Amino acid sequence: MATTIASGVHRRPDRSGASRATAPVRRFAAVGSARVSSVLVGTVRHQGTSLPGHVAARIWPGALPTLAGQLGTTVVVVGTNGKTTTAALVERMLRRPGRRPIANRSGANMEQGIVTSLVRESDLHGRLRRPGEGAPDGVFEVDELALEHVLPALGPTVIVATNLFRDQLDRYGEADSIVDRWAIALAAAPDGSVLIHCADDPRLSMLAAGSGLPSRTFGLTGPPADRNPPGSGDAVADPVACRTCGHQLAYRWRSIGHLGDFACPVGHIRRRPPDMTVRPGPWAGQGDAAGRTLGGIELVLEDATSAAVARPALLGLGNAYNVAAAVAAATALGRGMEGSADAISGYAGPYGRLERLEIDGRHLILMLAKNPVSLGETVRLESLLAPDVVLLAVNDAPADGRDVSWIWDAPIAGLVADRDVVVAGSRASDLRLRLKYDRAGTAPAPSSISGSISLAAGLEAALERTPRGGTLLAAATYTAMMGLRVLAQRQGDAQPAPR
Amino acid sequence: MRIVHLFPDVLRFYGDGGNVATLAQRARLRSIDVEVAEVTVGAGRLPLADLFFIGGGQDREQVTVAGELERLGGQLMDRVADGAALLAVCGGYQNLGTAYRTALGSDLPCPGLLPVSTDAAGRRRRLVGPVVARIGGPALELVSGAMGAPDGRPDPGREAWPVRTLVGFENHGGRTTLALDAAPLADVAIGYGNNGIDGTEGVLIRPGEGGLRGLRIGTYLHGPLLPRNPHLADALIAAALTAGGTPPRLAPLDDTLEWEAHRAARERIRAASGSRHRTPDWVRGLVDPVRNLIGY
Repeated sequence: MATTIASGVHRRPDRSGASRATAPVRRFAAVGSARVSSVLVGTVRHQGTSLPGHVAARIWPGALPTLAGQLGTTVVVVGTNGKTTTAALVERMLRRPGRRPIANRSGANMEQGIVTSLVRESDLHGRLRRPGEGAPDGVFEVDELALEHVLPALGPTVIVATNLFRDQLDRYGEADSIVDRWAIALAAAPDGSVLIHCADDPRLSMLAAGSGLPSRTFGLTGPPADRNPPGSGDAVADPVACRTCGHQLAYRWRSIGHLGDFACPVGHIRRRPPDMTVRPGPWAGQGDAAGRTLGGIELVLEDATSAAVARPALLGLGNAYNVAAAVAAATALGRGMEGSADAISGYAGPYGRLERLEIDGRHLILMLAKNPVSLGETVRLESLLAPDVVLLAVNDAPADGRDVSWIWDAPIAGLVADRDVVVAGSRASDLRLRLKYDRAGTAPAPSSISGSISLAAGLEAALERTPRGGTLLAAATYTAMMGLRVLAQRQGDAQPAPR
Repeated sequence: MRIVHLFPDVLRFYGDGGNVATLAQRARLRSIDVEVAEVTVGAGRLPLADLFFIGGGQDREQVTVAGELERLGGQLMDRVADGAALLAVCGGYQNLGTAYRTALGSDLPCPGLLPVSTDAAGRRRRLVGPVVARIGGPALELVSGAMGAPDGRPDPGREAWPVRTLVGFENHGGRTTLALDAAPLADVAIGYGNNGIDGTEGVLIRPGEGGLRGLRIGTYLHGPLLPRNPHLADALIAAALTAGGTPPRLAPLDDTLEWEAHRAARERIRAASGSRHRTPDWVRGLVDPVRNLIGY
């Protein structure tokens, strides 16, 4: 089913009566305060802050609907894994000469984070700047729990749902609770919205079926070849039950976690062939001459009317899904498939996701791993990346998730067997225990009573063990990944890859 | 020694598989041959085993498991009656009780293997957070029996070990109540425990009590439970080895890492909650969003 909404056409009239009456003074105060707080926070940390938006929204409650109402096209990206990458891909596809879509940063994906990004692009009267002609577009990554608060404030939106895995159970309770909250959120989606979702994810398929929104799906053509045996999936697959009858779903093949060709044994729901398919080709190339990327996969994308090949500098099956999601969104907005694929050629992804940095003549690869699936995917890439040393860094700040028991569910054997492993972060002692029980008795020597190891100490120890010219792979939770980035960029000749 | 993991295909949230890995590894390090088997949904028969483990999962999966236990519950009771040890965490703990009312208000059939009943009905908030608990008397006896100190004091070489405490993380909507004559596994110092009211956490039934020879432990503690509470792991292994008879003294292992992790967790939890009380939710409600806003 081809569903298209042309960009810029259906701008919802400003719904918030309050903001129509909002005194210019209030808007001025809101935007002004946001600017000030932006500067203040910038002295401490500037990546992923939502403080300016929070401040603005306090002063001007109608900020989000008023500012978002001025956007041409709005795209919202939700999901457990792949939000940031997919949003970054969509943003690239929607760029036009002289203008980029307004986007938020991955650390700022709650309501205030979106307001932050909009306020940054607005003048002191509360009007969005319009470079070139026409209204700016918006591409926003949205946290799972924030969707129901954000959607009603936006106009007709292309909602891209990547997947729904188990993550941060201490925040969410269960993955099923997210499904329930999204059902509520989608029921309140503005008229004219479209849902783009993964056909291989039964949770999303059941959600879409109940939402009544026009939808467009993306998925694989068949069982992925990199699993052994093909289609067998992996050990981190959560059980998923049919929402109608409660029976566990059966699979003909699996790709990642609970994604795959699913069906309810009684027949209530089954995977439908995706509207847009993606077929990953082999890993292409050894990276560019300057060693700034790791090469990437060729992706063949196809829908009912067209086909294209994308060659981003991305790796892994998860990214194949992310690219398909982004292209499906772009084509739903009327962009051509080939143009969209070209827009991401050579793109190596957002920071912290297989990001490559050079320190002291060693290659550091940073990978975000925050739940069993993302850690599992890192493990899968291990043979491709062939690190000499692995650094595991797990923090338990609110942004990481306070409960780290998920590290026991990720099959890390492939990553740590026969290899030097260094641990760091506030939960380093838990990692050490995990390694001990995985490596049958051999354990790294204990070092601290507090149980935590500073990122600086961990990074230093890991770099020391990595030979010159060798590779250090760092898998880290969110705040640990951000911390490592900062440390790495400060050290001597660290050269971040261009984004 | 054979360990059977019950329904890992549907009850494997929260890293509970780490409990099985810990038990197996600690036994192997004592030169005990260990076999780990899984019983998945749809199985017709429970194999014989020395130790059964059942973990946690979502509410939806617990309905599935209740159905399985209608069929297999009697067999499990037989195994435990013959001396098999049992560890049930969270969802499994709830399912094996005498009664369980789901969040939607329906009563699931329960095999009554543990003298507890659970009520998850009503939209009450989930009990989530880190836990420090003090092991009760019966549990301590078992623990010290396994660790080889007959009078309950740790060996001189392990004086500093906090064997009286358990650390973990809880995340449950159900409130569990113990039967009048049932002993808890531990008393909560920090956290909610079984129901957030009576200060108990888990349940422990000693071998021979209630007519069943096997040791039975139920708890809400994730983490997973056993890696940071090696004394409890050893108590289970010892009970499993003797089918409920006099537990052997297990050879000591180098548990420096385990106790470091245990102590670190205990200190962090205590520091985060301040003196004896949990951080009031309103404080956490202020602090966490600010941390999120700044991006920390």
